[in-house]
Amino acid sequence: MNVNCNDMELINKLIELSRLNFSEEEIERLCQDINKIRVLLNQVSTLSKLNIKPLYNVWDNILIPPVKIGIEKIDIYDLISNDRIYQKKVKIPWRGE
Amino acid sequence: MKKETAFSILEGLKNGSIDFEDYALKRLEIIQKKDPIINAYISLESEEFIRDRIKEIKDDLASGKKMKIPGLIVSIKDNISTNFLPTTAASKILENYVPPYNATVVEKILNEGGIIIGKTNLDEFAMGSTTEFSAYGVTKNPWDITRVPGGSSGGSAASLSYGSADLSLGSDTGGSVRLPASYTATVGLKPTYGTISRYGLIPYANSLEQISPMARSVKDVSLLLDVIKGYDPRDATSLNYEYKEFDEKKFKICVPDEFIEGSENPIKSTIYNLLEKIEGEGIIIEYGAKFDKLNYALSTYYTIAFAEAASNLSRYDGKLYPNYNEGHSYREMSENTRRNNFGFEVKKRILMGIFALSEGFINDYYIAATKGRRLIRDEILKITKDCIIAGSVSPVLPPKIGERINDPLKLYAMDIYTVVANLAGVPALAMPAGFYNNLPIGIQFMAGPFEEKKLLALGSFIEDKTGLYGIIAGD
Repeated sequence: MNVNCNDMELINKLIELSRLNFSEEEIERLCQDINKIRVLLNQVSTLSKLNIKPLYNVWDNILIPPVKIGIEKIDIYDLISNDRIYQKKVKIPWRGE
Repeated sequence: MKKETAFSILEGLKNGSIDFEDYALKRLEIIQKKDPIINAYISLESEEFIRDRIKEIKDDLASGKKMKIPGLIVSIKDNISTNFLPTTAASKILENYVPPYNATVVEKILNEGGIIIGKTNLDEFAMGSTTEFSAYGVTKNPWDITRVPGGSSGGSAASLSYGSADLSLGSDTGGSVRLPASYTATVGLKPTYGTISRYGLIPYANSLEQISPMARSVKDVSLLLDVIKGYDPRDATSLNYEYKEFDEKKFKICVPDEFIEGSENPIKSTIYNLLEKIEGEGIIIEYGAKFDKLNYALSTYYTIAFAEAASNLSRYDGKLYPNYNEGHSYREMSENTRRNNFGFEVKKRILMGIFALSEGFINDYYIAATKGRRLIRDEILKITKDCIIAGSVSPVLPPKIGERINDPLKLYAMDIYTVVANLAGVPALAMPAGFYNNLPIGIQFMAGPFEEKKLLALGSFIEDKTGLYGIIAGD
């Protein structure tokens, strides 16, 4: 690739991992944009050393008691009407019978 | 200015002064006249379908069924699943895809007598702030067609703004209903995370996004919220909680400098003028509060959103959904499908998400962002215990088309005030504050979890005071 890009090695690795593909013109834009976006994302890196628990569920330790969070279990067959099931498998309409 | 609210139409439909069929078909006429320019809709219902739907609603009414919105016209963002119209998420990869089921919110709207007239344009997979990143063309702002309507729910906002629908559904991941509301003089509410079912929403960033009601007035938004809210066992993040009751007429509002001072001057002066106007009569306003965590809100938000997008969009591999491109192997087919059918912005965000989650980078990016999210959430919960936070929705007036999309930092900076509510999970309301050179300016209010009724009571009080509700652009 003839694109002049400092991060080309990293970009190629990311492209491979993400199962994507870019045209040469897109790669040029990508190089510029990724440099800029990394400047933005680097601001968050300063927080990595803080001794704080990561927050994955926005309501952890907030909604008490936690049993009030919806945990009602439903069977997959309650979600799907009978005409969409064949021998206990779900039919995908655009894949035919 | 022509004014029309869903409440006034509902009243007319109920007392017979408005005819169901005339009214609905007139909306189709408006769309046919204005949408070739505005491009708010990706797909539309036919006249025949609408006539059949009206017959169904009339039969239900005749049989004594009580419904909340019989005969009102609703537009739906095209990332919310409908089994009677395609759901594309504004992406080529889902072109002509008709889901085999309706989203829970769609079922609720149909059950309450709503007429879904069409599916509205958005940034591809809701990734954008201007509705320019759609595979189906740019949506224009009905107040000035050289400008964007905001995004990603720009089609929904525009559909309300030019009078083609009474109510609309958007989705809000980092401001996607509030920014368009602000740019089009409409109203958008991002509800508390978990209080509206996401079943049937094409996912972008699950931990941040909520399906959100939009309308031309706060009272209309309240009406739609009442239709779509509630626990849904089909959504694992759905909460079995009710919104807190609020009957008082007293509000304490605080205005942290950080939520307004970085805005353009016309925005600042419009918001300060409005706050001055509403002070007193039960409203206390405190200026100078501090929220110093805003300086890493944007980086925290985008790191999490990119990471979740990369994970969510891995499902489009050419196998599960109808559109695909051939290849000699699974990998080649998957790469070809994704290369040819995703837009550049989507591909870029997936790439950045993979980066934030990669070994060697995950601690410095994704994990660091989840720590930042905890700090932001805790601070917002602390402030909103005592007051409603007020500030700008957007730091800038509606940008010209093409003005911001070529610089990601300029584009992402438009979300600086709105991402906070998504990171904290709290409700946030955007509503009209005024106009500058005929361009709408919005104000944002943020409250504690489950305090939607408090926010809506405040918004309703303000719109009565300003008269800025129900406005239709260009009439």
